[in-house]
Amino acid sequence: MADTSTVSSYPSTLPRPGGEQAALEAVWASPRSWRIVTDVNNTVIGGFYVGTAMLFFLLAGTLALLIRLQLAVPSNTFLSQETYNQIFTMHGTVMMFLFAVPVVEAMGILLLPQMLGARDQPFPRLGAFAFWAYLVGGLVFFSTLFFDLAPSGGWFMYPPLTSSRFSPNIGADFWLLGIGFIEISAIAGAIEIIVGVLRTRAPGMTLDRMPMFAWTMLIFAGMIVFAFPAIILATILLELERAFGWPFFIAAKGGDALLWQHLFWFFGHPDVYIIFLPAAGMVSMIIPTMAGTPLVGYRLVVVALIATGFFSFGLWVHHMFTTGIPALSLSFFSAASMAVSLPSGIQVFAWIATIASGRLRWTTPSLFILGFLFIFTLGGLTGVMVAMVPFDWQVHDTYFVVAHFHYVLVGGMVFPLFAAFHYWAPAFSRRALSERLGKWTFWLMFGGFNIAFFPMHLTGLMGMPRRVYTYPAVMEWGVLNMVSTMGAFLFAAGIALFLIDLARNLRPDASNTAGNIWNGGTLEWVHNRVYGARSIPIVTSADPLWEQPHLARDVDAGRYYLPGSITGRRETLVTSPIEAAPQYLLRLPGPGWTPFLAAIFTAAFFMLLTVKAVTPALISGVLAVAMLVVWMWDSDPKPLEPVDIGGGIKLTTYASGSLSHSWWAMIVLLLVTGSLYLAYVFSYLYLWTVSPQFWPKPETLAPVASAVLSAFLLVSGSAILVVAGRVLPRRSRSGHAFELLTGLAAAMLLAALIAEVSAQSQAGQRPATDIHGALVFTAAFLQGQMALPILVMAGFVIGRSLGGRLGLERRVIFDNFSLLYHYTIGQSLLGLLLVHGFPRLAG
Amino acid sequence: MSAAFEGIRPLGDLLRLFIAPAIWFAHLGAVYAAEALICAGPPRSHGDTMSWIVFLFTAAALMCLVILTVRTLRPGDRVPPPSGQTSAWFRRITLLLAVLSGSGVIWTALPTAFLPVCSSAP
Repeated sequence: MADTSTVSSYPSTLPRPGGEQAALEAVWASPRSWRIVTDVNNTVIGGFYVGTAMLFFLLAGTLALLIRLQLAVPSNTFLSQETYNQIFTMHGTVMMFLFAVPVVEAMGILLLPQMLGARDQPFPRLGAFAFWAYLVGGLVFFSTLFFDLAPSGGWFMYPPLTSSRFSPNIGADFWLLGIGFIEISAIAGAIEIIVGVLRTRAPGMTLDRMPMFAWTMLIFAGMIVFAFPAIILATILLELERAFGWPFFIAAKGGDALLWQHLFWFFGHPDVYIIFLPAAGMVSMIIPTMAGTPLVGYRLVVVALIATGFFSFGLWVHHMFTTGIPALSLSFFSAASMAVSLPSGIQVFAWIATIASGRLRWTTPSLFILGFLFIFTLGGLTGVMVAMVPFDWQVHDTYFVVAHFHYVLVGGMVFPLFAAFHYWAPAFSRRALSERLGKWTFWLMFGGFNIAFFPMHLTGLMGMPRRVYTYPAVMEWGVLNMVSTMGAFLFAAGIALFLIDLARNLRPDASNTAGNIWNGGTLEWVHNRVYGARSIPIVTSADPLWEQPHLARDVDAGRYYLPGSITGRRETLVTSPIEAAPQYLLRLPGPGWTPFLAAIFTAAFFMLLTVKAVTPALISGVLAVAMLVVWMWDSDPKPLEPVDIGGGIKLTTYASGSLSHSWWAMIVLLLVTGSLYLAYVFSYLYLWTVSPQFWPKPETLAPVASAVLSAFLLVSGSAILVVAGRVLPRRSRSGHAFELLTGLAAAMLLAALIAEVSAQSQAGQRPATDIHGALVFTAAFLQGQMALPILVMAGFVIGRSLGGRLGLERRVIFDNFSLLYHYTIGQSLLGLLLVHGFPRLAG
Repeated sequence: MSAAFEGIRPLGDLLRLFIAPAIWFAHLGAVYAAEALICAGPPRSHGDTMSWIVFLFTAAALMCLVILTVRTLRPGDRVPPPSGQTSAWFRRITLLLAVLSGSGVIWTALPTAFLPVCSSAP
């Protein structure tokens, strides 16, 4: 941590050496022309990311207009029933999975480094990989619509409608594998964001001085870590059922279609807040600037954000009020659904109080924020209505619910997003967007939205069900539907005007921007370039540009930390997670082909698997792994002597253990895999409560001895790896003991898996016979899913050791491998306990 | 190497912030799971069993929140170790979350007093 004397010695008044800035710019220069696809810098990737997400918004919006055209008049034949089903499924899926979550993640990748005073994200190649995977996967998925291969079971894909019996074509498989793949990309982005927010803030930017957008992105990413694994497991289970007949959702064999709903909504409900919270963060940044006063109740807003994040995980059953769940269970979730309005209300009141305590400027961002407050509050009120069980029974699956969630999602996310575009455009473009066109855009969108969606409350109350492709005139829904359609086109006109504004005024330029035209108080408003600010400042308040009047000038003159490139590579500071004290200098990778190619091959693997082209899929998978190995080979560079980052502070260029930023990333990854496994344990226990008669008698189970053997192999493997870790420092004196022990540990894990599968097979368990067999083999499948990367990583660790890239001082990769390995052992032991122990206990 | 390496226990300090809402979630999950398991078993006097279970889980959750509050308020166990200002800020956040989570625990458990156990919605 920079001590007081260091802080008081900054900003430095010493002149900067000649050529320092030119060298910095050379190190961070982006590749030209088509080689731009090799760039990994957050400004470039973030820009691509936002643009791609907006492309999907336009595509899904076009589908919405087709839906509205079809419903404009009764008994319409504009679209056939099957086409309509595909279109509304794709509209919901693309909006939720390819626009809403990615666009906020993209805004985070674009804005956070600048806002936090970092030069880039901590894992630039991971960010690039996440983007390319999303782009390729998203485009392939969307293109299924043009080949009549799109899914048609709704964005929620409920079985049994989506089972192979009722949806025999591969549209559902595209959804399951495509969306599962895109979720992996979202998780990669979330890991990047968590580590970035916690470990790369400017010195002095303690958690209580962190910009509110960074807080919301931290909670957003944390929620992704715990919510998305549930949908990933659900897609695995449904795909296993569709491809191999494992009967997770088939009642006749002990499965239960409601399991899908539990898993889907355990992801789906938090997803609403995953989308909303970053938008709330944008609002919390824009309102103080526009009102010219700090955010009222910063502390309370942080409390509200954390509480909302947690409460949102306790609401999933409120999407299942009509499924026959016991009334008392419903009431638990009804209560939780009402409780979440409390923290949401705190935020709304904090924003209103901030507006009231300052003088709001009537700019385009302000208008969008006020529109957001109006629409989102209405959506929140109808949310409290549908949280009440009796009311929900009346309006469930009607257009009232369609109106409600569009008020929440469009009001709560799209309006703040458009405010954000207008607000932050000057930070990335030579020109700001037009105020005149912006105001027209707002009024068209605001008017169009309310004209389109308010009547849906009424059509819903009149009984119009969701997802019907047409309706008879006698129902008298025609007039209201026509009004909704007109509103939708008005809204689209607003979007079109926004595009014109972008074409006329947006001139992205990393080094020559319009600047701080709104007088914002946070660090993204200092003069940022592709590498962020010229020097990394010391932050002493939540609004540093307001509290430290000369900060922007001094930062730009290179008077703070890291004004040049010390090691001749891209660099940023890694700071402590709470106090943001400088800890070490992180050397970042530059442009390269591997993230792009790895994403292409990974996407090809999933898509080829969908069309049952197994051999090409496997080749693509192997190539993807090869790209990852090449990518990782030159990571973890050799430690250098401590370097002077300025102000007399010397930092090491290397850290291991819990100091290392990659250790934090591995912990987050383990939380993801742990969440996925807990979702499996929940599924196992849930299905037992539904169909206990399918659980075999203890005497017919696989023998206990087999479980003991597997456990022995697992624990032995763990112990062997611990010994390998102790041998590592003495590697040069102990021959190849380290490599042998690491290989042996990996082999033990594989042997335990083979022993378990073999024992279950010999006991007569078959995955397609009944639900118990399916669950037993799913445990093995999940263990195999962990064992495979461990085998690859073990080979990688051995290779690095033999290549002299691993040792006492340079052991981060081994430490991370060990974390993953020991976690997998723990997970496997839990699986053995569940699969062998639970039936004996329950039987 | 800088002084920044000294006295850092970051992950634990950070997690402490999330204990109170995690207790709320654990309580919700526990009472929901308890009802699911009770209703899956043979029909008995579900009502009494469920009421006791909810009472015990609620008392346990509230006790955990009280312990968290006391530990946060107790001098000498400041949350977390760094500078005074950040420490005070963390303490207030932790306390506010504990109050909010405690209210949530009681609010979630309340329906047990009014509704029959295992009866399906009409």
